[in-house]
Amino acid sequence: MTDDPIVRCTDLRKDFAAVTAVDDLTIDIHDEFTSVIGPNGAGKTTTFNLLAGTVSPTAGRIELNGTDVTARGPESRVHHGLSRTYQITNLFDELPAFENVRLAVQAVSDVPYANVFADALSDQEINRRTTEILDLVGFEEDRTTAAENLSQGYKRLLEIAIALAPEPDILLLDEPTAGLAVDKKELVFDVVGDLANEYAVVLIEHKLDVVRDMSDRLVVMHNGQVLDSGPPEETLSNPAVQEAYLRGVTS
Amino acid sequence: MSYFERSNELFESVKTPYIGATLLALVAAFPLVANAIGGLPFLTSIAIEMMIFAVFAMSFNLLVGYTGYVSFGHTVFLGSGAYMTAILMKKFSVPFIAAAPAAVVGTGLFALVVGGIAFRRSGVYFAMITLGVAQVFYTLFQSWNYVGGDTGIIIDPPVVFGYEFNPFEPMGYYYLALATVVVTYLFTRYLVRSPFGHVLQAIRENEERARAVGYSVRTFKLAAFSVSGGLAAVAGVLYAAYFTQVAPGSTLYWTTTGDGLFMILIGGMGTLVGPIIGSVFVIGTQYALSTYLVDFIPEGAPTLIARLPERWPLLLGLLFMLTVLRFRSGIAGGLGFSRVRSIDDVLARVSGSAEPDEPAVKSDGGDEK
Repeated sequence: MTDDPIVRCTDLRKDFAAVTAVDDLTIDIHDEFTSVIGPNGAGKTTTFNLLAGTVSPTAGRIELNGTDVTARGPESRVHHGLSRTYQITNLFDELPAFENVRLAVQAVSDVPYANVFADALSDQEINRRTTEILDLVGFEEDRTTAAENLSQGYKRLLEIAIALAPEPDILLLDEPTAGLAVDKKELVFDVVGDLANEYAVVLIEHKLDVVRDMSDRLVVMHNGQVLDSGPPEETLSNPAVQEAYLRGVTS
Repeated sequence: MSYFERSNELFESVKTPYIGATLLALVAAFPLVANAIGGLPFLTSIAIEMMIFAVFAMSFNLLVGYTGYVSFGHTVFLGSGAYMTAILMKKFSVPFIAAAPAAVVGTGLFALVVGGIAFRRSGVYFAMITLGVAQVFYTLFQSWNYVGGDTGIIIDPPVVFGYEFNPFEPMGYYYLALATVVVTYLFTRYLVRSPFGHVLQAIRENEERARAVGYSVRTFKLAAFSVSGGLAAVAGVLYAAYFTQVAPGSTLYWTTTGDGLFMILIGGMGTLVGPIIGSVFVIGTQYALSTYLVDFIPEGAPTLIARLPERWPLLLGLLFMLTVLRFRSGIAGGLGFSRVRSIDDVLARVSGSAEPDEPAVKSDGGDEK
């Protein structure tokens, strides 16, 4: 583990009208497997949205690899090494699975946009990279299938594949197994486990047993604040965490 | 499903260049045929009108069908192209050959400004801002004496390299319009297949995700809007050259935008040939109903039927509804043209070089050879 964090949030705050979704969050994320847990409404997804630039913070500061990106939009965060998936599937619906990933690869490639006589599909380097990523996540469905016609499990895999395309330094996964059947959940978790060897992964997940086994570090959120963070076993045995988390989950 | 599969196979052949070339040759020979049957000026003038609006619809389709933004003010760019041509020719004695490119480039820049304002919003707000801009120019030009108010500007037919275009012998206009349609078609075809065009389709499918994967969508949208506006100006230049009168009612009023949308929807939004089919269909049906329908009305028919020829928009509206309800991508969709580009070739090439075979490929009606 290096000393410089990939992500550094300082006093990060987000208000939605009268509700404070994220409350003075200060956290460093390093090159390790971090899981974010917490009851519904704890501010997990809002934190992801803040990190990815989808929503802008009310106050505070976000640094990516030492660069202040607070004021920059999502398209810029990708180029600073951060990539994410969405809790609710968010794909290029009508386009083939292959094209979904190809577009994400093209976005971080050096492409002559002014040359209208270039053929987007003839860039073999981009095509090869796209194929590599789809192979990596084990996408074994027909790659010409429109994203909207894929099964739920393959949609989730495609989500991850798109997020991998920019070869991010840090990968945010927002409940990658939400809405999947049990056997499909395991398939996706296998992929996530493999990815953790190569990328710094931040995972939002409700299944505690999975999180405990996979993570290097656990961040427990409650009411927009970090309740505790540290190695999974330690964090989960914290009475405050047990109380907040279990109460939140069961209520 | 089987119906669509069959029509796909059937029209796969239409997409080959040979059939395209044959079609083009037939269209090119059309004035000669029309001349032989004695209907030259009338039929040819309809064909020219179809081609002018095909260019307009193709430009509009780039925005609506490929970028996913519906503008209600696209005619302002047709009007801009037509007015710039007319003003340069009439007021500054600029020859047509120089006025035409100036009008196209000028309109492209104008569109950049309009886009800069309109793209601050999306959806229905975007549509309303564009409508507002177009209506402002309509009202302005209607009451501005310098550009002739309601009557507009009347220009002389253009003279290019010593050739004088003549609206009463429209052969010259016909081939000018045909060449413009072919060039516009080829240009849009290259454009939508370029990396730039693929990004536009990503924006159409999911703008938020397009941003999230790293595209500065605003820049792409502005560029698309500018190119689309510039192409509409090409139609405007043709319009000015052919009709030799540019008036606000025909080039700037919102109904012209409506006609363009109508052509795209009926012809096939987001397909390359759709706008051409739509223009031919809409203008063709319009003339057929208003000119020839009267011959088929029996004498003593009830008033409702007897007055149909003058109420042809009623029938056109009905046809429109049927087409849109039956085919998701208009007539072109019904003929088997797809909104989404096939990637079969790419996958074959990639898997051919990397691994021998892809596991668990479910073939769904791809071309079997």
